[in-house]
Amino acid sequence: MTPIKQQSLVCIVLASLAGLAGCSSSNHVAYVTLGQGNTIAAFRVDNHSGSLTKIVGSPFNAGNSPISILVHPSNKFVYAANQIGNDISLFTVDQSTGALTEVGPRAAAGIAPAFLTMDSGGHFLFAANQASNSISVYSIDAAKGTLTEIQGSPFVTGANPVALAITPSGKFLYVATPNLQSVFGYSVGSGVLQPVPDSPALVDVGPVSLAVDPAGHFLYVANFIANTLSVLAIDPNSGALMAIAGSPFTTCTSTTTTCTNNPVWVAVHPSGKFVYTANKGTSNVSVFSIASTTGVPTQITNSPFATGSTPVFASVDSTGRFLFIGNQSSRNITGFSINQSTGALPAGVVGAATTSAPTSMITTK
Amino acid sequence: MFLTRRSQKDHMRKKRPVTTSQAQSQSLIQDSQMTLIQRGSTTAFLFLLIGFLLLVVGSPPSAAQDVPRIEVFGGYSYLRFDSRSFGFAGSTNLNGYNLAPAFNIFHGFGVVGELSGQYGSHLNLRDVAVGPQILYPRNNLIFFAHVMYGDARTHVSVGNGPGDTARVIVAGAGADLHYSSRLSIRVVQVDYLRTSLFRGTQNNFRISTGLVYHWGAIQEKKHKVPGKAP
Repeated sequence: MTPIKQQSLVCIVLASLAGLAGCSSSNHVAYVTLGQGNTIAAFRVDNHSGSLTKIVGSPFNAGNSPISILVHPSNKFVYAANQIGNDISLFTVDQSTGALTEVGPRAAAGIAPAFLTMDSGGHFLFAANQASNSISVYSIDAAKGTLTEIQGSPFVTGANPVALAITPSGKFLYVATPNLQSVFGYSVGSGVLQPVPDSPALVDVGPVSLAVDPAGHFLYVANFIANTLSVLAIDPNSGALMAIAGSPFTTCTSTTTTCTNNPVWVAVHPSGKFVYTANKGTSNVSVFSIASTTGVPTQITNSPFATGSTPVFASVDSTGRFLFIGNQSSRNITGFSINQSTGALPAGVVGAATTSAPTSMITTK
Repeated sequence: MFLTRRSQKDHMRKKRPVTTSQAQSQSLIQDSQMTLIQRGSTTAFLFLLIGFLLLVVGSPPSAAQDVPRIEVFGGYSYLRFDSRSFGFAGSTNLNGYNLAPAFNIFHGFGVVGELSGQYGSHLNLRDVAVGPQILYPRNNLIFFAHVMYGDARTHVSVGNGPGDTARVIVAGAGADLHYSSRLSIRVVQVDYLRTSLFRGTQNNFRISTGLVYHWGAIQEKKHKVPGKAP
């Protein structure tokens, strides 16, 4: 072999190895509560494909019937509401593996905490106590993630609170109470809750899920029994709610003769352009484009899109590129790539099986 | 014609003059080797490979040279484990050992086995494999390449601490620097390990270095030239 050919061979091999060494896709983690299994499943989410890779060692032990899960904005801590255990678990996150390690003792909540939310700064955690009709509020230690219930907590609210939503500013908190067909609103001052004017606001039959758009202008409410989507404008000063013209909107299409969607979860895309409802009754997800100034939802072409059997939540990935649906009966997660222009969910579904029915999901940043 | 035991030792000890390019190449490999141990990074791995390849292409044509009949390699190994398939954020650096006995049947061909283990804070990997190797002596260096097949076992210190066992395929090459009649220095051995643990596929890279103890020798067969004595 001549010296020139020898050098060429070296270059080819090195270039190939350099390409391999530099090839690595970015990713983040998704956590899914498995209520019946008392565990939390963890998946690595590929930022490019949305594929879910189960993290070895998952699922991780949790409290008694975890039903709602949150990630602290720092990505260092995860919180889970344990519905039967009547408490909230704190987990630290291993940044290299994504593994969860629980830090005791668990923070006591009211009876049957059903939903958690947190302000965008990670200062306060709010828990809706479904059976004790109250909201527990905790301050969060930024270094350790530990929860300390603030003075005055828990705060009494309407009967059977099942869902919460907080504005991006952290100024207003909203509570869905299906028994009363209403949404209660509170201003949040250092965690202390004060009712906003004209609270509660009447929506439709069976409000079970809430979502606020990224600009904090509109509150979206999934009405499970009425099969509708209520849209309420948020007063930026007082937090008072007012239904927009045309609200509530049907979640079914014009071709549907009998509407049995039963929307159980509503989620807003980080861009504020699209809203998704997971429809438990018809095992699909409806996609709506949102008019930026009026907040009016319009169902997009080809919506709804088929999911697994009996979806119970919809989670938009932190990157805004993927939508994940948790399916109760089929015990899996259905993943969709989101068309960033139209909001459509093209075929090419990726997903993951879970060992028991998933109840909620969150992704890290 | 067979060499006596003493003449075999004399033959093995004879050192040919080292050219400037060879000395520079050998020095480059040793410096890169220390960098690799300290950093344990892919970049250091590439530097080492550069030195190895320069050594291969830079060496002048060889004369006849014996290869050991039996050899046992023992030394340090670094493994870049492809833990992304485990759901980890990236690959994981592991450190450990490599033990590899070999029996050379012919001058350029033999059988090699390995027992290797690398350990880290979150996981470890151990493997046992066996397969053929080819040898290519050049002056006081013996270049080799091998392919092995066997079992790999891992334990992950995450959650409930699961473990798994699966097949492994090892493909690699390296170079031994003759030191004495019984001892050589394995300047570098680079391997690609393909494992299929936890129902996934991992593409792993390993670098090893250490000492090779050997005994016996296999001479290269010399071709008869008409009119000349062998």
